[in-house]
Amino acid sequence: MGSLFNEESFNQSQESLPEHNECMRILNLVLDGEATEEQREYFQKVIKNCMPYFEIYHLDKTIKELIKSKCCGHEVPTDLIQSIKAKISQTAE
Amino acid sequence: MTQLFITFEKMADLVRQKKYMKKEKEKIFESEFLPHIDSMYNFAYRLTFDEDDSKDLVQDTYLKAFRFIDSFQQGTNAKAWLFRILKNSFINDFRKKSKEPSKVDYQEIESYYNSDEVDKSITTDLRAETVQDMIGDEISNALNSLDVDFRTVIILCDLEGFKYDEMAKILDIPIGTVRSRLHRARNLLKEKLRDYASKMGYKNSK
Repeated sequence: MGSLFNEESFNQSQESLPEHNECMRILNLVLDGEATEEQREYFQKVIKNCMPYFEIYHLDKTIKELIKSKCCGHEVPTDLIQSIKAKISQTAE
Repeated sequence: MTQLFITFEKMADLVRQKKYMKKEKEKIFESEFLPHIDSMYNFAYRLTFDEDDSKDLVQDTYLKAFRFIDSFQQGTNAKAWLFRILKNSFINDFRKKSKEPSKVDYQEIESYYNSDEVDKSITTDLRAETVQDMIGDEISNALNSLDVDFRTVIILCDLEGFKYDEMAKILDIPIGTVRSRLHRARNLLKEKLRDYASKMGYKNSK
């Protein structure tokens, strides 16, 4: 993994992929709050030393936050809850 | 006579229990199910892209949830349980009659997107600042343009905050598949955003 710790080898690592894939796997775990303490520490070291991984993480985190803030705007029609409750009381009778 | 008296008491207990259970059901429905209706409706809309269809899907989900409420264990994750029902209703009942064109073989799609070809196309030329500058509907449109299976994992994870193990249960797939599908979905989303960025003339190069 040490070879990933500099920008110069980033493109090479993408070509020869096992290490890159592992790094991306951990990046996603960190992003989604699923990483172990050890994985988080490891990833902090990686992004500290390798700007491309820092940028990918920063981009993914930004997109994740934007999805959260921009993709939830569909308001429930006002009559939907009443309609559900009415149907349930009909079936319960 | 004593025997008869006991029988009546037992019957009274049973009646009381039944009544209590009905109240309990209503309580669970009101306090644990209905609070998730906003998320459920949003999920349904992102699957169907149609208000009436979304209403039908959500209503159908809640009716099923009530009908099968005995299989819901109190204290477990009601939201995940409801999302699972909605997803199954969408696949089993809704997708069949929807206007959406029939799907290409899913296995084929998954194996293509699991190939290294997609990883090679990961772009580092899309920058966080560029995405932040997109103040319109680009993010939402990009998400909507993804194939429904990829769209779903992003909605569940990024929008609704489900953990991988919860997503695995909702979608009936192994956790490893959740992870890989999510990874592919994010790459596809970035490709869409990169396309928007270049079409709209956002500053995109490093």
